[in-house]
Amino acid sequence: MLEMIQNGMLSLVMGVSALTVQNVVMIAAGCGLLFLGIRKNYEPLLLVPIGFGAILVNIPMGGMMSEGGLLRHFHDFGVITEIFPCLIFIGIGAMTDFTPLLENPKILLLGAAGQFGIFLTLLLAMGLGFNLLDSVAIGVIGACDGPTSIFVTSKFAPHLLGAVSVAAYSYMALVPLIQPPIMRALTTQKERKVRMEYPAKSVSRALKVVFPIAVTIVTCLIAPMGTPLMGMLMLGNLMKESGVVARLTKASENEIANIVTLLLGLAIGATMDGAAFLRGQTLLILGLGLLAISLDTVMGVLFGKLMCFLSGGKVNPLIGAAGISAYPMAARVVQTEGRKYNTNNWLLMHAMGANTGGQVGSIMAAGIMLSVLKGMGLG
Amino acid sequence: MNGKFGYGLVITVVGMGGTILSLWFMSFVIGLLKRLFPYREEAETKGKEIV
Repeated sequence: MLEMIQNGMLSLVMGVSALTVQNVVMIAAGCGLLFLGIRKNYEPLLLVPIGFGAILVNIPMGGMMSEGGLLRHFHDFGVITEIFPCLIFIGIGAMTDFTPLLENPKILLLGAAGQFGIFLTLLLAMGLGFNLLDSVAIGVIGACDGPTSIFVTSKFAPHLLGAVSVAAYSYMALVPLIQPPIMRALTTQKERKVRMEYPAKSVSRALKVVFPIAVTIVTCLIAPMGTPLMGMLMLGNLMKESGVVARLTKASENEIANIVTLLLGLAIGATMDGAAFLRGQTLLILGLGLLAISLDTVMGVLFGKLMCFLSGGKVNPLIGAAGISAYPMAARVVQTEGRKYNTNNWLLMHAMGANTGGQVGSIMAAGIMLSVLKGMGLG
Repeated sequence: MNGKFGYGLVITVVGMGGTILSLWFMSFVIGLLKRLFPYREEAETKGKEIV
């Protein structure tokens, strides 16, 4: 009887005795993410489930990621199969207004320049010894687009999923800290003060409805491997703009987006198991991810400067920084920076145009990369 | 160009070029669509009233 009580008591400390240093570090990291999400309000919708998932998976003997574990089910069902990133895109599409982009289509080019960091980081990662497919996954952090990063990484480098997705989502949240110093360093006061006029209303409802259909057909024919992402993004947008499926649109931007965000966040957090996550390689990936987003900003602003020059000073180069996929954070950063130098300058709608261009651009860049890899027999 | 870096370079060049070209083409298509479906204030307002 006494022995049974002793065994029973011992079972209560099994978890504590199995705790490793890595578990403790990762539980602290999970708490750090929760702090950023709750206290600092950085992307709380993502950082709270990711942080909590990281804590859960590092509880020894909790079995959350073991065969049949709760988080393992979420991970295998939604991440490995790439269902979650695609479903998230339906919600994003239903929430995105492409009108500023349609008002000024040339701004779409900024969404291309804002993806160059992906490719430059890919080369750098290869230089640092990563193999080609790992480098592709690391470079795609520069898409500044969580679902796209997960989509590409789960295809080519599933073992890097934790590091890549944490980097992608964390840096997306840190865009307001990463971008402004780069924007200031690359532009003159005069350039930052450039006022951009708003074009007269020029977008018809018919155009808004045709746009997602046209984008899907054109871009998916060019880069078929990006079809799941672009298709879902544009389906969400078509539902919103057509106005005939209000229930589906509401469900996409609320219920579907919310449920998938929660499960995706938990599943990503679940990849942060101490033993697998705490390696030098992870730090390197986090560093390269930061570099990728910085390079995106550099290239976007430089392209903005080129457009400023070619337009005779009618384009404010700051809007180039919004050519990434972090929507609408990057656009807000541009607006805030612009108003610091000219309080009457309202760059928001132009920046929103570049930002939505960045969303299309990031999927396009990833789709092209996947298609090229397949073409070379590597995909 | 057969090594690892060869592949990386191809992806970089085709990726950057392909992204900018395809988005330029897309902006051209949007320009065409704007001509095909021009904004008419009266029609848009009428549409809103119906909604």
